[in-house]
Amino acid sequence: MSTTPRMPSAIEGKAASIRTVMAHSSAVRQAFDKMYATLWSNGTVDVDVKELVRLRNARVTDCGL
Amino acid sequence: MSWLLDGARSRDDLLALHPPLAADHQRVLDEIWNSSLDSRILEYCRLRTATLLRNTLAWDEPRSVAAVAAGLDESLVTALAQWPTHDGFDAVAKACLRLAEQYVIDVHGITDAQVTELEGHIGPDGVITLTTALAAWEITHRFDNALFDNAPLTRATQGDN
Repeated sequence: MSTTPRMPSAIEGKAASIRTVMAHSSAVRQAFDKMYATLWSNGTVDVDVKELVRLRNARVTDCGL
Repeated sequence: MSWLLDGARSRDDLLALHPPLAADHQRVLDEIWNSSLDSRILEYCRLRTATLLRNTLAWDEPRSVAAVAAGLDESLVTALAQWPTHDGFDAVAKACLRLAEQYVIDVHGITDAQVTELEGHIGPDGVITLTTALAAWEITHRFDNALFDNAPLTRATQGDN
């Protein structure tokens, strides 16, 4: 799949990327990123297992990122 | 009923097993409902994706407080399955529901033209908020489906809404 953003960057002078596009809704995105960070840094599941699950999920959903 | 925790009756009961994650999850939902996007449309999209993913718990729990405060029309909620042809859903709601369905059924089928049209209705901040909301709801719908006995399919499937 394409990994080219469909929307422009929200940050002047910065190219469109997943980060700069998501900045259009910074409060929502920051909250989501915080939850994502907690998923990685907390809990009893080993981080290696989490990464395997993430990669397998990306393959199944055909995520090019 | 959940096989993970005896006596668990809600998603919150299970999330309480991981307090930091529960707090972060709640903050995501709070930011979504507090965003500039019409909360009635957000609630339509949350419920419609619940139906597509066969999560009856989302239908049985209370409606979004923000959406109700914004004047959520329960008759339109009941008519959600008819949104493409129902006059009660305006062009903005239909554009959002179209993306919500596409997101769940065939996310790779989303097109540049579809996103451009949506951006014209709700702006770039609205597009990012909506897509993040869809991601958050897909998580909760699948979480519910995975960890709860969702067998007694009630409103969502019987009414096909």
